[in-house]
Amino acid sequence: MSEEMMPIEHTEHAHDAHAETLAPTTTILGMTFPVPLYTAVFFILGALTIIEVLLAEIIDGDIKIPLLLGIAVAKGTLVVMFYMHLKTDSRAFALAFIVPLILAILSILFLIAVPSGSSSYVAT
Amino acid sequence: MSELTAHHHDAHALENHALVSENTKFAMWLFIASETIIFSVFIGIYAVFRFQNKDIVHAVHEALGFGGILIVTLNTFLLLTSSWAMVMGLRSIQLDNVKGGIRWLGITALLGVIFLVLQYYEYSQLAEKSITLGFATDAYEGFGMYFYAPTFFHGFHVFVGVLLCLEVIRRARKGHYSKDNVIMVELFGLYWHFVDVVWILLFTLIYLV
Repeated sequence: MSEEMMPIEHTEHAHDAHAETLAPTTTILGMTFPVPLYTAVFFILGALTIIEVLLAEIIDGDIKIPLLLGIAVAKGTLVVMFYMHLKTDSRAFALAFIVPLILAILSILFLIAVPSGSSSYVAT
Repeated sequence: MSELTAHHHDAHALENHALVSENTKFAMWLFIASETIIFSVFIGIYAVFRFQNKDIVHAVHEALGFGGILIVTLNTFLLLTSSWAMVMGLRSIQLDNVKGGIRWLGITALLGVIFLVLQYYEYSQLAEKSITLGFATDAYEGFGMYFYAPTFFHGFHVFVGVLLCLEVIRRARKGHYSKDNVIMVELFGLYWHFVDVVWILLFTLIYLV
């Protein structure tokens, strides 16, 4: 198949990642764990969820909301990168997902920033 | 047909298969992008309500108590575990162990069903506390509508996911998948993990923040 026929990049990098998910061990920060990558990610997700629930009960104050939302975003990112393979799959997939996501986040921030019932318009 | 020609045809078929797989995956990502927009509307509307009605949300959390949070936390673990079972099923099939893959996918579907049963139980508990869909009957000034809309829509996606999972299992049992042909399993996985990601965000935004 010619290069022009490939609408989406398909590199050897993806094959390396394929081998990474099939391997019986996982290496994180130089340490090797005797579980597959998917299981290692599952343990991290579980630990983050426990931390999240405990923090929600313990912490009170301005830091609570950004901290908990930050952990939730980290968990979501782990699922998208490793379980949905966005870390290794074609960048076209990432683009298709991230562009509407950014638009949605901007819209939500805009909606939150606009105070309700603040219209100065008075009908005559 | 010479051996060289046959080899060329095989290589061509493999390349075509790879191209179709990549394009099908891209289509699935576009579907997920549209779903992202829909869920963003629900999440955005709830977020605006949450930040403009802190006292109401605080009162709901007080009414739910730690017991209520525990049930939802259990449900969160069920979905996380189901996502893990899903990728382990995919991994099994990629390692040429289709029977193992079917077992993992069975666990995925089962955990999805338990999630729905627990969500129904949670809804019944909330109804007893007068958290209802109607603005007039809701004890917390419309919180019910903002709560049920995203969680029910998500629950509906879990229900559809369970049905899709059962279909993938049926096809796997009929020998449709092998280590070189897992695209349908991957597509279902993308859908299921997306539903998981949505719940991760809903869980934090609605129950913890």
